[in-house]
Amino acid sequence: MNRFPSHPDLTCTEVQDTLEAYLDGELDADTSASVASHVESCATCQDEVRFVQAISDALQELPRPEPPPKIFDVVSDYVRAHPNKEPRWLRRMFQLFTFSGDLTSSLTRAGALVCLIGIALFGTYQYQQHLKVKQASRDLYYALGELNYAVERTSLVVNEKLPDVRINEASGRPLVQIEKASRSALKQKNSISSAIHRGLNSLNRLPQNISDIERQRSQQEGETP
Amino acid sequence: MTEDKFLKLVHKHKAQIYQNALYLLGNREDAEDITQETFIKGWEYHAQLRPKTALAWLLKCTQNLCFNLLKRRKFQVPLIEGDDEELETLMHTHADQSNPLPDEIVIQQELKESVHCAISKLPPDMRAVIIMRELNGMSFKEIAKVLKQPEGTVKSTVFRARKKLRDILRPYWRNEE
Repeated sequence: MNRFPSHPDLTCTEVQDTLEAYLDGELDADTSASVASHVESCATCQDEVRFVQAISDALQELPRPEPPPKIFDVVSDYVRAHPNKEPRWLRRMFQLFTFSGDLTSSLTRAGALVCLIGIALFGTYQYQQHLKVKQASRDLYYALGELNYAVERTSLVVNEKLPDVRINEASGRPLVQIEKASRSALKQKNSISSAIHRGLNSLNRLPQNISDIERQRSQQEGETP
Repeated sequence: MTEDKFLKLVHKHKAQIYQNALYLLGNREDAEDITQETFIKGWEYHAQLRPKTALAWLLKCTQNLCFNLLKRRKFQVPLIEGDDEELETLMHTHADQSNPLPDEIVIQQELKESVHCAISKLPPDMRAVIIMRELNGMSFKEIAKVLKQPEGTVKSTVFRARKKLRDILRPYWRNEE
């Protein structure tokens, strides 16, 4: 506290305004030296210093009355009548988080802190895993949607192109029932092949060529006359 | 904090709290009420109290309760001429102990008797810091902690309060007749 940096010659008023700080040793060295030199040469300020010291002494000797005992009794009765109702574990947790109360063992606090950090890290890891699983299930759901759409489109195309082919919708799986279609196709194939065989047999029974036919005709004509 | 620990705390600090309230209010009955109220509030907030900072908390609580009371009474603090003054009794008892004294000592004795009267004439904030500094012997740092103010502000308030006391007590000083 340097209030008079450029005024080594202080006035009485200036000195008397700072006497409390001066006597408490709260002034910086230069200002304190200026005040001291002024007080040394000024009878009025010397008397003021004695006045300040007398007040200081009087303040030190102020009576310090003891409180009546009933105050302690009243407070004691109140405390006994209003016991601590918080559950012990809750109080402990509160003290732990606020670093207050009688949970003073630094070892206990350090252990509890380590446990809390561990729980927090584990919780964070679990949460990240949960997020990953959630994302994967979302992707899977999307892929299933795409697959269902593809199956639906396929079934439409199949129904359009192959009317006999059916999609088994009851099982919920995209199974194509082609037995009937294949059976029908097999039946058609058999009937076609039997028709072909019959045709071929008929063909086998026919004359081999035209000359043979004419010869047979001339023979029949020669026998008849 | 358990009941027993809190009651130990009460036993340890009750005198200081009572003296603070007494000098802030200047009335014994009010000081008793405020002291009780402070400790009851302390018990209600005991979960937040820590032994190291309990005194600062209790002192701040006392001051707040006293200021509220003074505000309700429009700062009408009874002086030494009041009807029921424990301080008056104490000062007279103190004066009676000294038998015939030289003039200078008589003047200083009068000054001592008038100091507590002068304290009651200070504004409440100055009164609070003077009581903590002079009566409780607290350091500037401790007072700053109680009032939650910078240490420089506390020093400045203390010096201004002492200067004001000087102005109030000047009529009692021998050279100012």
